[in-house]
Amino acid sequence: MSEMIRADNLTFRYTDFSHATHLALDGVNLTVPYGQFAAILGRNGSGKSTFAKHCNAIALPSGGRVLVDGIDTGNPDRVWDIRRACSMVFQNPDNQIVATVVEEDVAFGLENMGVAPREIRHRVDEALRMVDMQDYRLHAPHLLSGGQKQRVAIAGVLAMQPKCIVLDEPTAMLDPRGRADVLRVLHRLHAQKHLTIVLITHHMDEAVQAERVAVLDGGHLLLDGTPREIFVQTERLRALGLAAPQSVQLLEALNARAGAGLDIDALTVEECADRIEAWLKGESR
Amino acid sequence: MLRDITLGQYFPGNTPLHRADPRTKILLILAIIVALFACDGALPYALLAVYIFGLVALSRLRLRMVLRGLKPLLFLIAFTAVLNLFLTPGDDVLWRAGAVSVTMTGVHKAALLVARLVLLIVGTSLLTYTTSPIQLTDGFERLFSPLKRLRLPIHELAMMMSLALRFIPTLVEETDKIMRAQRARGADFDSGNLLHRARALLPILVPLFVSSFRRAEELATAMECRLYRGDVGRTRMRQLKFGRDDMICAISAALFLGGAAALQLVF
Repeated sequence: MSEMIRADNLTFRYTDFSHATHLALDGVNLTVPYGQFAAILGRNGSGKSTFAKHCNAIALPSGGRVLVDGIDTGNPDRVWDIRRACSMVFQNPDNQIVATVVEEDVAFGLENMGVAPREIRHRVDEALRMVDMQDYRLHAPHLLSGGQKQRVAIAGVLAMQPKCIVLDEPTAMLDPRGRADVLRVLHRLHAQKHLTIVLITHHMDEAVQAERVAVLDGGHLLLDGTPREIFVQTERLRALGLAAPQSVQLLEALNARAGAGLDIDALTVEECADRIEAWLKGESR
Repeated sequence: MLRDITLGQYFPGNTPLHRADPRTKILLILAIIVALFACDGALPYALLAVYIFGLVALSRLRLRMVLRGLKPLLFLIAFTAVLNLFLTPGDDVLWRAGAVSVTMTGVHKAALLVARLVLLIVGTSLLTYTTSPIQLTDGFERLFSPLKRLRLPIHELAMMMSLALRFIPTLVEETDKIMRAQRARGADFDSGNLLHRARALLPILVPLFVSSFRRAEELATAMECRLYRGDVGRTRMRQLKFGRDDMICAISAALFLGGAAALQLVF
């Protein structure tokens, strides 16, 4: 039992309203070890959200199996154990906030678990601190910004002390600042609480910061590796409708047009700037 | 127009009335309502008015905000007041014009009615202004929990109520957005006869309906993900217990409502 999430030959079939059958996931083998920060990338319809739904038994496999914290999601008696181990945050924060006061919403999951009131209070305060929302404890969620709402939603699952949080495009509806805040919180949870984070996204710059990137397309797992391994495959990514990070694109363009001969695996702006600086200095010499 | 909806809107605060147990507050408001209907003298009413507006002041609610809740009912209040004023028969006629007359009894009745309605609305809105909807439904649930033994779905009703309240602002915002989108494409909601206007609302209601179903489904999934499975082994963060603030409510209610009752009986 060394993996948080283990999908073996996972297949998911569904029938649309015209009775046509589609394969949302087709034989996906993917494991996420404990404590990893994994990003799952893919364009719309790639099956990435469907995969997320399999991580806490919202969707059940049509074929193959999914083990979450060692428990088969197909076992109906263990559904609540699975959802305790692996929480989920959704795209639209408005549709997952239950209460009209921030702290009462964060407490909702704990109340469902039957945690003692004093302990709830303690965990709610702790969770709000972890997401930098302690000052908004008594605010009404509908008056918060998108990024703040999403952080409240994260606090709501965090308070339940899961081993893993799966986030299904949590930043898709946020402005750049809200996105940055949410990402900062996720990295903090990963570093300080050693939580397993599975971030479903279509933003390259978010995936770049992960430890591991898996790319889904058409229900297949096509690429899987560290960001550095994945993002240098620019041609491949383009064919999948994804763009490499801008830093990689810039270095690639320099290589193509100026024959710079640079290594293109610069994932951050700083790395990219360093390489260009070194190249320019070398040229002027 | 849509921004004026204040019903069921909670104003967070940290005053005795905010902190008091919702059950205490529900019972307090019920007692106030009973008192308002039981009394009809000027003195007891003055005392009740002092008490109710005293509670408003104690809760640090802005008076303007509280009075705004009266706006939708202003017409009803004025209408019934006018009817009572002119159509009450009596011997103590003050002014007469043909079949219409103003009697002293009528003046009394009209004044009482206005005072009663205004105090009723202010008193009940006090409950919703100082109690978060979740606490409110929580209070209802606990107050009525003995009925669970009769297999009445008290918890489910309370949960539905609190979710409905939670989504009012969200849906109002969405309605606003849809209306603006339709206006931008030339929809006209403000002219034409009643039928025409009602028809113009259809393109708003349909998308609103569809989206609220989608929201409901997502919300249900999110709730299940947070281990909600109905009224099974739930606990509450807020423990409701009879504390100092409830004592303040109870003692003040005993003093003022008892005082009003005494005045009513004596005079």
